[in-house]
Amino acid sequence: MIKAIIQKIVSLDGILSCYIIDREGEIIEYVGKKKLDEFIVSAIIASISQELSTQMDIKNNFSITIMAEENNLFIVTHKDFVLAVFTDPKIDTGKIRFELRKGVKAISEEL
Amino acid sequence: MNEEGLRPDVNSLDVLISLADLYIENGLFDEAKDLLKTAIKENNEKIKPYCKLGKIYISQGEEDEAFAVLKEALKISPENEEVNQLLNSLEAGEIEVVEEEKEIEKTDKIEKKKEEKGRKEERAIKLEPVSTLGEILKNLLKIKGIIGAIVVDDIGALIDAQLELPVEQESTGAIISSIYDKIGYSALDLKIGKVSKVFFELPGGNIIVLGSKSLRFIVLTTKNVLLGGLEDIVMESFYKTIAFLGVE
Repeated sequence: MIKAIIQKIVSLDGILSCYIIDREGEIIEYVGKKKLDEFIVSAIIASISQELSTQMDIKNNFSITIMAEENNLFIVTHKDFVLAVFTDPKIDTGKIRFELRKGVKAISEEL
Repeated sequence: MNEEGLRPDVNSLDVLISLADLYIENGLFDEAKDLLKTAIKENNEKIKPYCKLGKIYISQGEEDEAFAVLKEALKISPENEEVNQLLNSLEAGEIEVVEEEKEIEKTDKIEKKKEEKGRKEERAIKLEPVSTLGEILKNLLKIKGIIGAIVVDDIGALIDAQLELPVEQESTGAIISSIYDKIGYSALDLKIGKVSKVFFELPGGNIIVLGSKSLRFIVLTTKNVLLGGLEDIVMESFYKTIAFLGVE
């Protein structure tokens, strides 16, 4: 069922891959159109999230949108997991944030 | 009015909006939606029917439809405060589903007041010519929702800051800069290219960071702002800062 949720996210225009990662950096689920080393990706995403939580003393959920030359990376944290999505660089960021919020809600209900 | 000017044109915006209000008051939301779609078709440069239709969608939990119509409205009026607030609330998931027409009326009255306030503020947010870095940052703070701006160098040392909130400038700038740098290095490992912008949406507010080879330009905002709506104006201040300091 979780796979179906992230398959729906990846089916949106401009989304290349989607990861659900636990707070320790282990992959819970993954769907992708773009080939990436999923273990490196999950470790880096968990590390970025951890760094922000620790440095800024954030206990609640937060999100990070990283806009880079080749791809954008959206990271949304939940108390039990991190949802991360790689996209094309010219995607509508507001639309993606909106879809990810819905995705986080659906995943949290499943877990 | 129609060509003769004697009787109201049934497709005039005011007539359609008034009828839509009547439908809403009587709980006929589908009819109101159809009417507002006609109003948009006939008056596609006017923002009001988009907002009203967006609010009906929101009130009925139809978030995808609300998002789509409000995005259209944003193309017509990118700085419209009502549209930005509705979109921001949708993105942040802060809008509750309400089906009582009184709630819609109440929201309308509040939004009308906000619209008037927004028009006054839109006139005030044009960036003015500046002669110091402090002025560039102070100008940025005139924009609704922006509560701080910090400029640090590539090792996180403070260059200048203007803040409306009680945070320690040097340490805040250094911490945000170090996180931005970590993200920059991670982006290379992830093979997504050089990072140009990072948006942090945190429980207490948002942070926008723009980076160049020598600078980190950090903007702090309140929670309820549409980050995409601030992007252009923040970019403009960033480029002004680079030009002012004469750095890469």
